[in-house]
Amino acid sequence: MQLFLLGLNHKTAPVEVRERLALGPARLPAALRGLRERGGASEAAILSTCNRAEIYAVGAPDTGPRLERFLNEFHQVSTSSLNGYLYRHNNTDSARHLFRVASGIDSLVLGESEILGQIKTAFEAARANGAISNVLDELFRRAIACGKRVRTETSIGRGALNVGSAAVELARQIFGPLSSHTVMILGAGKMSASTARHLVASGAQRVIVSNRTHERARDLAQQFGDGCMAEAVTWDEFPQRLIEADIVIASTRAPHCVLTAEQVAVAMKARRQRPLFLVDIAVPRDIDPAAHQLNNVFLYDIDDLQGVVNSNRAQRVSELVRVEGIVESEVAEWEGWYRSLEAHPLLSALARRAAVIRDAEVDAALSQLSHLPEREREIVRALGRSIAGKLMHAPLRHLREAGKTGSADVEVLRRAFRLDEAGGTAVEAAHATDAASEPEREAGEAP
Amino acid sequence: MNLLPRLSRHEDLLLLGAVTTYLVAMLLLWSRLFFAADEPLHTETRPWYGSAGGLSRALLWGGAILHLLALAGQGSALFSIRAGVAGLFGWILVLAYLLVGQRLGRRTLGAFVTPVALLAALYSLTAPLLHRATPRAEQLESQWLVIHVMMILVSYVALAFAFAASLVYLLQESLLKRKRLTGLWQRLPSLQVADDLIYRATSFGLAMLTLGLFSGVLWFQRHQPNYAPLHDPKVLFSLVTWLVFALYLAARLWLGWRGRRTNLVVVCGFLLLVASFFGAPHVLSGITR
Repeated sequence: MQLFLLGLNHKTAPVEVRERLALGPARLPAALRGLRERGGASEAAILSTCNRAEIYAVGAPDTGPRLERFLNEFHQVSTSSLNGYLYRHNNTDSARHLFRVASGIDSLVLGESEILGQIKTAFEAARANGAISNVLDELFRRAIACGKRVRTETSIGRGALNVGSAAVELARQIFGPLSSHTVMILGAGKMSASTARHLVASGAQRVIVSNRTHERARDLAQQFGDGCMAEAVTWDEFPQRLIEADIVIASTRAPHCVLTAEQVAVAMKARRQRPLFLVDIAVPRDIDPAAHQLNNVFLYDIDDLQGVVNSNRAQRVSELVRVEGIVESEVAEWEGWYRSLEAHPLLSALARRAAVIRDAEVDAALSQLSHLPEREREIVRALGRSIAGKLMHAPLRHLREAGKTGSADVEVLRRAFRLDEAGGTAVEAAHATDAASEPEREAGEAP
Repeated sequence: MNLLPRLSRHEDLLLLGAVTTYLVAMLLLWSRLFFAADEPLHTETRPWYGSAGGLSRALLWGGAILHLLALAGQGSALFSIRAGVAGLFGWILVLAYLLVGQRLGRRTLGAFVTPVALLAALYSLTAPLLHRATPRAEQLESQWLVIHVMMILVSYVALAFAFAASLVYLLQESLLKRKRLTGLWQRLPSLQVADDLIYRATSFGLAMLTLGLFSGVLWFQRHQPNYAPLHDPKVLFSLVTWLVFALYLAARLWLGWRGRRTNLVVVCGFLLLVASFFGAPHVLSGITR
């Protein structure tokens, strides 16, 4: 049994290739079924996002090539057209890949957390289709846990990576959690609208829109609708309404300043020096830079915000080493679990062997002691259980541990107990008879 | 001042231990605030000794216990001698930080509160022998004195928190103004949060200071009928300090002052408070020392 990964992502394949392998929820059940019926997989899961398409499967050693053939058939692409784009990993490497993906360090935007949700969705879809049993179940659970751990223990996911969320981050450092705050938009452009939406999503409750052509301001105000109060004011009116605003986003196409430092100073007096956050994302700039010198006024232009974004990106990159460390430790844990699977058949064969011998011996003894009352027969049975249990306790435990580390002791134990791979009951029955004389010898050695 | 012979006495040894733990805790808090390569969001998954925050907390608790034991041996000197009062102030400040202050302002106040406590404890360590300086005026040891000193100390502690929060505010404000947005600014609380903290701590501190001053003047007048409070430089100094904090509140409430200027007033007020504590000779200093 082996774990396979077959996939491509934004680093290995251009979008023309990725889109051909993209898999919507509609075709997913068919693909999962096909992977198991024709691809030779005993377990399968598919992670398909706009940046990656990956198949995780468990199967016999020859499953790898069969998966690929199935992929070509299913998506009707020729083998040669995918060559060079696909990556293939086995066993621990597949697990490491998924853990890295879950941690967000394989993503286009370093540390983004959307991928964690996509992995959960892929996991649930595969489970709902009955395509998963213990190996992939454990793999995906551990991957999701790894992704969560990475995000709480490192700051890989922290710090805004676009201008809009950088503005939110700054607003939060000035006002604390946004709640009753008012956002004013000067110039109803795409950029200002998206920045304002970020702020509203973070709790700001009022939006005032002003634009030279009033219709556009009204249109934008209507788009905000639920969740906040949005209102359009005429261009002449905005200097007076400045008093109500806590955050001003300016992005007009005006060739000169539309908001002077004097206007801001007047507004500050009227608003009794409550802090004012000015975001100027227009080029050429809309707000007189001198406004930043005023008390309790914080003016940030597009370069400043871009600077925040850049330093956040650098901070995320500096966290990579710690993230890789966490991923490696999680991979090592996974590896232990995965290896112990190989010892599982041996473990159960050994336990079964002990049970067969025990039952045979106890039955043989009891058949000669037919005169015993039931209570004493039970004592004999308990004696059998206790001897077998105690004798097997140490080897079973050792085998479990040896399985995790992949130690050669697994093989030693297999030979010592003469358990061959098949571990069939027929063999055991034969052993049961010749083992019958052994306990006497061992009993002599026991203290 | 000869420290060595004094260290043979166990109170001073305890005090030295407390001062040392405060010092280490302070350095840890500084390293966490200023130099930390971003500490993880959830440090509670680690043992207490696994993070600078947890370690400094444990050290401060240990230091506070040592300090308490040292204070217990000092008796009435705690309330009647400047060094004793300073030591008591340091201890209450640490305790108030551990019980209340450390949860406020994103756990950054400690870096600014611990130096104040450390200096107070250090001063009480280097001050003249507390033991020999038993007050000559027995009548000073009344409950009034204890109440007066405790009220004053609680107000000092509250104002020390206002001072620490002001420093946090001024630091954050200057980072935002200079657009220095790496690391530190994310660890500091928002301006709004710091400002609220300053306001609340100052209001409470000013109220306690008012009560403390009144109780002090009343108590003095009972013992010395011809006591003229306005001729007491200590009282005058205290009145000026009181006015500075009152100015802060009035300016904030009625003049609409906000932000840097108002919080600078708080910083000045606290420095004046320290100056008046050390600078102005108390009218009774002749008796108590």
